Amino acid sequence: MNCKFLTYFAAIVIITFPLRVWGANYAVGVYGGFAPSLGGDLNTAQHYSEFQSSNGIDGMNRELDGYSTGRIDRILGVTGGGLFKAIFHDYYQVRMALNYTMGYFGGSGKTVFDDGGTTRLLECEYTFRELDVPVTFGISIPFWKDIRIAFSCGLAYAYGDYSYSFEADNGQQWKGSFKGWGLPLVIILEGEYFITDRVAASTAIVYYKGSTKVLKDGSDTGGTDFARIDFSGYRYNLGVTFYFRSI
Amino acid sequence: MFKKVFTCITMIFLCLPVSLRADDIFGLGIHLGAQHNVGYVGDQDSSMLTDPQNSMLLGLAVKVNASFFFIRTGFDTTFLLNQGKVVENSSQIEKYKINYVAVPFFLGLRFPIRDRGEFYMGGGMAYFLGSGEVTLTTGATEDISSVNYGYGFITGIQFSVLPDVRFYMEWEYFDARSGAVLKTQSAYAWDNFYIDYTGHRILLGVMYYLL
Repeated sequence: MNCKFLTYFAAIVIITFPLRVWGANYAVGVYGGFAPSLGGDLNTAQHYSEFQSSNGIDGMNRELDGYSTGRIDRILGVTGGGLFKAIFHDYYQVRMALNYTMGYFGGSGKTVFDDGGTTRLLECEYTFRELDVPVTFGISIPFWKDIRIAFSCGLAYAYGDYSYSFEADNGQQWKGSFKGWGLPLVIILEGEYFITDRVAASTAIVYYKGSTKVLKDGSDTGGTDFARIDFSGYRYNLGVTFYFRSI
Repeated sequence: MFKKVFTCITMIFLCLPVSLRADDIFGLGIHLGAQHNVGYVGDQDSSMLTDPQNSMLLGLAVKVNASFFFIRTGFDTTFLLNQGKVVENSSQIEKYKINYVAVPFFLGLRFPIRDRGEFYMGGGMAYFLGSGEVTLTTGATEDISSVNYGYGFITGIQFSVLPDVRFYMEWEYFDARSGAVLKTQSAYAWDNFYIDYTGHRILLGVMYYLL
């Protein structure tokens, strides 16, 4: 799978090089950021059938007198990646990136559920990881030699790995593991402030919309479950971009 | 912890190589704004159909600029435009209204466009002090409240109208939820209803740069 990623990435980079004929400029960059609500509400079929939640992790947040529950926050992800972009005719850009995003905060806690008429305490833990390659096309507007503001949209090849693990106070366990890919829509608003004539501090707000098809649980513990891996959500990035030529 | 963060931020600003403009360092602003679908109550139960709550926001903004970095904080308070109504559902909610005070903190990059204004984008978090009222189908009214935090981003643009005065427009997004604060279903004994502060906010205001 990783070999495929690298092949596609290299092919796209090579394909953009003939743009040099039209005076294209190239840039590479690295960045890091955060992604609130990584994986969305992380809903699966068993959340409803076994745990009475119709809206995933949000519906698992419950409180009941006499039970020591602890809030289960949605996952806050940290993300990092590198980008390559070609800017041609001064205003148009093709941007490719490789991102890795993983859960950093949230996704664990204690709740209660109804186990055939008996209320039980349930310890929950969710994990989410994602690797994606967004390819976008858009407009990049330079303001003198100081700034570039860009807006672009396109698609990403996104591969997700989502799992959960629940354990009731009587020792019963449920586990779910889902892996799959999707092609979410990507919209990027980017700003670059040139510290030198070729090095820019960059920032971006990125929106993904899309999910995998329905996936079957890869774990045997606690019955078979089904879910989509949801890639939708916002990300905020800060980084540095290096331009091959001055803008 | 706070001292460490404050010291780090101060050190970053002191180390910045670009000199600061005297009229572009510290601004105070006042703004009005709006948020659609406050509370996202319809998302709490897939069978619930709602007329969502809409709110106006009134707030103060504090913006500190240093070279191409900025810090934006302040507070926002909401005013109800219309209550949310649950049209058809399997829960026990009939109406709801949620108000909150938000204290955001963003750090990011700004892109000054000479003396005409600037564009900026930042990420950060906010504390929400929320309260509200949920009217149940039984006719009973329940008060709810919570204090929570969430994460999000801001992007905005400022346009100079006077040497020290700028119009601004901002787009804020936060992702934040409380724990369960109320029982709004009859099948089980537990509290299930939470306050969802998630959503987009559009703000319009005027900022005066003191320094």
